Amino acid sequence: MNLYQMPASALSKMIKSKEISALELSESVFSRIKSVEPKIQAYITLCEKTAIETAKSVDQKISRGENLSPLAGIPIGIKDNICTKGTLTTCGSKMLYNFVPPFDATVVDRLKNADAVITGKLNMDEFAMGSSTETSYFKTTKNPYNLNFVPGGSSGGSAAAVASGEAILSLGSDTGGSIRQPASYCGVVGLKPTYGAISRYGLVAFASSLDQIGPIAKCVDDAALLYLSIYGHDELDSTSARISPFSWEIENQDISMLKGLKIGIPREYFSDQIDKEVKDATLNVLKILEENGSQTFEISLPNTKYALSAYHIISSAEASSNLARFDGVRYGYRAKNYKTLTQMYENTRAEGFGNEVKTRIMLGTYVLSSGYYDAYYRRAKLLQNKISSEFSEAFKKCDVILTPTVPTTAFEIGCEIDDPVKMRSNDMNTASSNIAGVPAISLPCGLSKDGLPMGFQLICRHFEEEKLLKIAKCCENLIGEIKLPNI
Amino acid sequence: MDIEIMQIAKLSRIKIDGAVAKKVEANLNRIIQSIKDLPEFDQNENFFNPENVMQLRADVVKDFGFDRNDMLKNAPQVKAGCVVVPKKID
Repeated sequence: MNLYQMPASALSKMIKSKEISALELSESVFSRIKSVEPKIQAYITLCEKTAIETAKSVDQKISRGENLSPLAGIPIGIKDNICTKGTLTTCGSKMLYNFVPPFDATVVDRLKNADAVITGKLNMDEFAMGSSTETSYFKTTKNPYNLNFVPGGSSGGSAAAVASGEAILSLGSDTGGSIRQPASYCGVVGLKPTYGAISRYGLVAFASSLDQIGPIAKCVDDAALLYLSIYGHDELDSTSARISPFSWEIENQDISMLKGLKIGIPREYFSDQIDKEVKDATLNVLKILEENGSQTFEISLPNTKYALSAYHIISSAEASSNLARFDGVRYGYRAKNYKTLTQMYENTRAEGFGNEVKTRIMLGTYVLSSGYYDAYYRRAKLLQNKISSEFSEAFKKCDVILTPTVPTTAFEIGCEIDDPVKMRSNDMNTASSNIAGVPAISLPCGLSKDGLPMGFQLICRHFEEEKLLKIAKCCENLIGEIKLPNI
Repeated sequence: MDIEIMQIAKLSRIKIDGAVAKKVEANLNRIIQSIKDLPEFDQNENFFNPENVMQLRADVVKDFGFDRNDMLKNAPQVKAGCVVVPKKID
């Protein structure tokens, strides 16, 4: 097995024991990037020079006998809506085609302090609005399992990079499913932590009350390592929580916690809209868990059917406000032709934003406008309370909820881009976790007959990341890994 | 339901016309059709969740070490240390 195919948890041990050097690992990843990036198109910006310098400094620290973090020397890609000091941060948009942040996001700062090697900035749907990376101004990333198919989105570059070996780990962001859906499509693990578990300082805001940064990884151990390196309170994000640390035992094969575990199966997440193969793969996971002592039973989260609508209303309303800052004055793109200040704003935003972003800004403006606020925004916020209460009630009966992550496997490039309602249905099983703020993780559970990955989702109570990851690890131990893509 | 696309575009400060206006209008109408049937709940319910209180920072000015010139490097047009915009008042 090549180094770029191995999990961070194993590579970290090899670096510390001097079996390999951090430089060798980074060179392996950049060699892989050179080989497959022309096909995959996962990156917007590569940071090879600084990555190699960081890897060399890790090797020097090891030779001096310094005590290093588990992520020291591990190559990690960053979604391009997370600010990196001195490195282009475009959000996949023409609007920020030349934006170089003068500061690091808190998560990037924490990764740098952990001596992680930042490989570059990963492609995404424009301002994280989309499910395929097709709304990116720069390029469409390809699914490593079939280059004619999308990798999912919006964190499509992050998932494709990990699946193809172009990064060992990556960071994505999830507002309605943008970590879990691409993780499912690309056969990797994607964690959306509890709202407030990870600082959003330096994450370019899409919908501030729903956005959350999280890890994408080859396995649960790796997702846990990355989560534990970036979680926790940050004085620069007042919504970030003070939460207790937990220890994580790498390569733990113990599955005893599954005995007596109560797993809720919400009937609304197994509707007719879920592809039969995906449903069967998820039900097979349930069968395996039952065989290992878990109790599974049906529950109901009745307002789930409205979660997607509530998500689109709330996220678009917040986006219309958050994206007001892109006006051509202080940073980014500015139109060439205008006479008045208003014309400069209007032309800049017309030329700088793509159609999906314009549609969502206008939808948000509409639902907040006089005469429509009560019918849309207020109802959506009340619905948000209702959906959160339903999750709380469900967790009185069960320890964890299990669902398919997405209704289908990856779709072909170009086939949904002109159908906004169909594209949005990708989020039907994921958006409710953002609406309720609870943590959720997507894990691979096999390949379809067409050779495309399928995923299932586990959901726990607020701030139960430790339990969620441990249950996920047990599932992974029983299900095993899926075949690596042949690119 | 039909929306007044030009009015919404004006409020959004996005110039829109011709074919793009028609496409965005059609998309918006389809999306609004798909989200319009939200149920009514008790209007007296409060949005505020007392269990998730934000931890407010101390009300003091902190120097984060940002350099004015570094900040202005991203501005499309700069003159004498200030961003330049079209004249608003004669």
